[in-house]
Amino acid sequence: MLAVRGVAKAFGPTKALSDASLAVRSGEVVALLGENGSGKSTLVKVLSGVVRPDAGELVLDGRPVRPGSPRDTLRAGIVTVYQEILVAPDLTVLDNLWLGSAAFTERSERARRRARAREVLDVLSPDPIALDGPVSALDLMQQQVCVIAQALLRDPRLLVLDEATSTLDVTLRDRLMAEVRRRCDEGAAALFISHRMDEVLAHADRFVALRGGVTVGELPRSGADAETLVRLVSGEEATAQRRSTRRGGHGLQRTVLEVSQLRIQPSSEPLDGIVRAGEIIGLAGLEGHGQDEFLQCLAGLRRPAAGEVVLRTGPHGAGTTVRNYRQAVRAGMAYVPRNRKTEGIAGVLSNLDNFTAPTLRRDARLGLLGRARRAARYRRFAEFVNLTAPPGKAVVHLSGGNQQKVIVSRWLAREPSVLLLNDPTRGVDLRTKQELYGVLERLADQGTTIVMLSTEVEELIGLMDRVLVFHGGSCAAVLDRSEATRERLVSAYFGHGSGATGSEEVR
Amino acid sequence: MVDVSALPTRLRAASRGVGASGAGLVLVVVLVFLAGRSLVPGYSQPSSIRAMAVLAAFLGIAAIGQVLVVLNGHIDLSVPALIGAGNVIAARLAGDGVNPVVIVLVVLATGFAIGLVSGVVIARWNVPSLVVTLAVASVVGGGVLVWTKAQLLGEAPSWLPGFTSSAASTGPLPVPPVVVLWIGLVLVGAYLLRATPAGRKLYLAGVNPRAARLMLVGDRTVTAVVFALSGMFAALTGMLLTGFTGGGLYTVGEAYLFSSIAAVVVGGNSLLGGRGGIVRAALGAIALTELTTLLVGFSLDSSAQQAVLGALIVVVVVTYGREQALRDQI
Amino acid sequence: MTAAVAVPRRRAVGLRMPRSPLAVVVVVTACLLVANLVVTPGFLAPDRLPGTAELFVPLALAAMASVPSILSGGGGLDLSVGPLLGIVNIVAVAILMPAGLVAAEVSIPLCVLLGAAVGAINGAVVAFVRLQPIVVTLGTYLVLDGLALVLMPQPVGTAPPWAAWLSGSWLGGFAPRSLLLLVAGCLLWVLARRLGFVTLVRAVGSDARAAFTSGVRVGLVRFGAYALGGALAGLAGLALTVLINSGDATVGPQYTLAAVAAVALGGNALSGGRGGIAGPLLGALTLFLIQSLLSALAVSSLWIQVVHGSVLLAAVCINSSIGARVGRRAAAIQGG
Repeated sequence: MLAVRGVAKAFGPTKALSDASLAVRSGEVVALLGENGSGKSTLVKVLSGVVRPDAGELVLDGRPVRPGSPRDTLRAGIVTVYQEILVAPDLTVLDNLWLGSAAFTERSERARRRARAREVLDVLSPDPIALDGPVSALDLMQQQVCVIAQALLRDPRLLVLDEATSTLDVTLRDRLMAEVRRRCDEGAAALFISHRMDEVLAHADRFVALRGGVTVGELPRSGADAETLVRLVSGEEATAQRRSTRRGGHGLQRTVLEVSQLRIQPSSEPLDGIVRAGEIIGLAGLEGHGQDEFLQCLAGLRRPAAGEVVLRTGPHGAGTTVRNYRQAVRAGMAYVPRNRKTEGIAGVLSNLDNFTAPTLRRDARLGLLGRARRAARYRRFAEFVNLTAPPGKAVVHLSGGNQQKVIVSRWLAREPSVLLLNDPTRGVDLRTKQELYGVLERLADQGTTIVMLSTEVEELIGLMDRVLVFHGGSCAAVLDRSEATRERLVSAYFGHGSGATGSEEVR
Repeated sequence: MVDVSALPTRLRAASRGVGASGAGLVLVVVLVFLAGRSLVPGYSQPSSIRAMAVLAAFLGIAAIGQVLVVLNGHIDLSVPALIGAGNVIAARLAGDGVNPVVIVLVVLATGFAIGLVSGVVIARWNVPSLVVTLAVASVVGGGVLVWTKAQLLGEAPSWLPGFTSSAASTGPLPVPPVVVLWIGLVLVGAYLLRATPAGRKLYLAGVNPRAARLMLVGDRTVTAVVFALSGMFAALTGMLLTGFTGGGLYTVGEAYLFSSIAAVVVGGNSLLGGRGGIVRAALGAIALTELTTLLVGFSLDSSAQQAVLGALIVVVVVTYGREQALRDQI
Repeated sequence: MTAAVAVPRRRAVGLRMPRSPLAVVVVVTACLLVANLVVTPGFLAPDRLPGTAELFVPLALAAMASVPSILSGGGGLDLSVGPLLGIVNIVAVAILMPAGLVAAEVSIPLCVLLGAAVGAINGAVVAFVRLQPIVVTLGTYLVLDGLALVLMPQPVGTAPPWAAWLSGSWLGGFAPRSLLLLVAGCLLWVLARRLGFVTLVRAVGSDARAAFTSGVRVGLVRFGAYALGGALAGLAGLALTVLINSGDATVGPQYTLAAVAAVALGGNALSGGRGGIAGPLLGALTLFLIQSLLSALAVSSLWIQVVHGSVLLAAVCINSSIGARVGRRAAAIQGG
């Protein structure tokens, strides 16, 4: 149906694509694989008409096409869901869903527009999303659902999903992939990009790998496993699927974080617990079940309905009750927010400026910032997280993974006792993910307490010492490393297997 | 005139070669000067250059405050009112024979305090700065009218005419002291923005207040302080202008409402915040003064001058101030 | 199913949220209206109503003219609205009248077209040359203001006959004819909304990149927004001609900042994407009522600026703080 041949695109001196080729046939789901910087996103932009290629051709149904803008490709039936969640936040959900399509302005179509929108949203999301509220009132995942629904409403012939599942929870991801499969069976096709190996293996019919802007290989579904795919993508021997060898605690028995009688909402069950130095705690659950709110309570960004959070970071375990964010940070807490673009970075400013923001005071002598001091600090922590981007580059031009490294390392520069991370590996490629895991483990070994919200089962199993699974606004299960299996986690997501450890194994 | 109409193409061709928009701005400043030199007799004589420098200094000092506000993503419409207030206060106090140091301190403190009020209101209640500063301008302007009963009162402090006259010189330098003051403020200001925590915080809060707050940058404090500084610089400009007005003339600031904003935007600073700097505003002030002087040289009447200036501002900014295309932002 | 229960609750919240801030403006405006009626019992009497309406309509239309450009985002702002009012007034008096184009059906459409054309020029430079809107419209401001003074250095005391007709009224003063211009402006807006154009402008103002990737022609929409604003400014220029019943180059520019203030008072986001014309119209009414209250109270002309500024400051703070509280509450309900 669609073929891309020998596409090349350079931005100034950097060559994003030099020889990318790809073919998608009607009825199949193709996975496009590649590390950050391999040119995947640029290829997607070429397909969607955002970027005009310097060389090469796009052939649609046997005819060469030269799309000038997304409008042209949308007309041709190629619909893209971008990595970044692109919504018009002030518009209603209904208007967002139909934005830009031909039926958008016709009044006679109003009833049909509502009905179709409802239909598509209900296919994707089990909880109904109100059509008439502004999109800005929705959480990140619901916004993602809106973007996907907008794409599906256009009845795409080729649906391009660029990291579109990254904020979705397990249920929604399955629903989406089922719908994609159904549409492909009816003759459409899908090209999807994901950094989640399990997802790629479960849903794709074929794999195409990009490396350095060149298509380097293709594999059918049969005969592909995680190891061969990683080898294909990275061009190196695959590192075996990680399973941490750390022992939690490391004999450091000092309590760092204490939660007593904490209720996220008035209706939640109270939660008590202590976290020791050097532990890595995972927070999990289906989206909107309280894990995000819990993390924000820990960070002082949200007031719990009842109970308190105490940071025991002072000398001899002296405690500070967390009242607000600023005070919590002063007491040795650090928080990596969920939405990198809106909460994490100041886009047009340099990497270095973004890195030094929370440590400005320490870099100043007599009120002046020492250039050398800042640079030295940057070098030290950039090395620690293996960040290679030049300090002067605008942070907005870095890949998601590198941006995350900047954000994490700037907090490390404050040497926090407790590091809170809100889904830090979303939209980050495999290699960078592995690097981040390594960084977190090293930190834990040095005695830093880490609490991390994650939407990825793999990392919950592989990285965490303990996992708190939330359901309905309360902590419904606590799984130790030894108990954390895929099955138990997922069933805990749905409220089963709750409570004490040692309850019977599901399945 | 033929040469002037050919100017934009030449500029564009030249600036494309230079690439960076900052260099484009410097080029515009140079080329406008060269154009003036070839088109208007006497344009490049030392006396007229010094006169231009003094005018640019007045505009430039007011624009320092405005650009700080703009970097924070806001706009300050109370600049003319505070120029008027600074002017009237300085003249009044000088007329009463008050010590010059006290005059300077009172003027700066008044400007700072009034600006601080605007800034606190804007930051605390999250109100559009445009409306708040418009309202504050109205209050301050009215207050000065009530105080002076709309009369020209007082006199310029005795040392001021020598400070701001275009014929004056600074010690051995053949440059009026006000110009030296301006250049000094610009250089020190630009250095402080680069090299102090407060300066970096201004940029962080201007680009993304929400992220800045999570990075422990007090975005509200930043907003309050930049408005206070803007008020202070406006009041300072007003005081310096007494050398021209002779006495306290409230309306002296009116010309600076749009020209302080124009200097900032002609300098290529973005009103969306976080992009630009003090040096750019200074270059903008120079470019604007050069253009105005050029038009005066054509002996057009003031309204025709203004019309041509409006068109020229747009043409000049086209050469270096174009925004990125949407497709490059995705 | 719990899902079925959840739908109506959420929908109710979704509907209430955008409307609440407007309710605050309504209350503030109503209070000011009552104050005016207390101070001047005959404030809305038929003998005064036409004059009152005449004063209000240019400001209201200028506020409306500022809406589309602000709504289209990207730092959108049309500073040239005020001088555009002025130039329309001057063209009507100093160019169309001497040329014999005095008939309403000729000169009124010409004036609106002139406004739209100037708006379109602004829009073309903003959307296609991609300059910051404030630079472009500041340039246009200076050009129009200068041009107006060149065309008419001194006020001219005549006006076309339709101006006199529009300053009259029907029903013995109860239905001032100047309101026809305001109605025309509202109709223009309603038409734009019905065609879906307003939603497109909001989409572009809310997130231009999202609109672009959804297939919206962002440049064209921005261009249209400025042209629409220009047409509304053309109507405002006609209303100004009705008000001053002459040609005067110095009156128009004063409307620019008042118009933007009205838009902000009305609760529209100056960053774009949010709001319609109801808020700005109420904002214009607020400004107007403050003004007329002060003149009715015979506040000394020296004090009038101080009081006007203070009231404006208070009004905008009240709007914003109550609006924020309402918004927070709605968000809390939504989240819980």
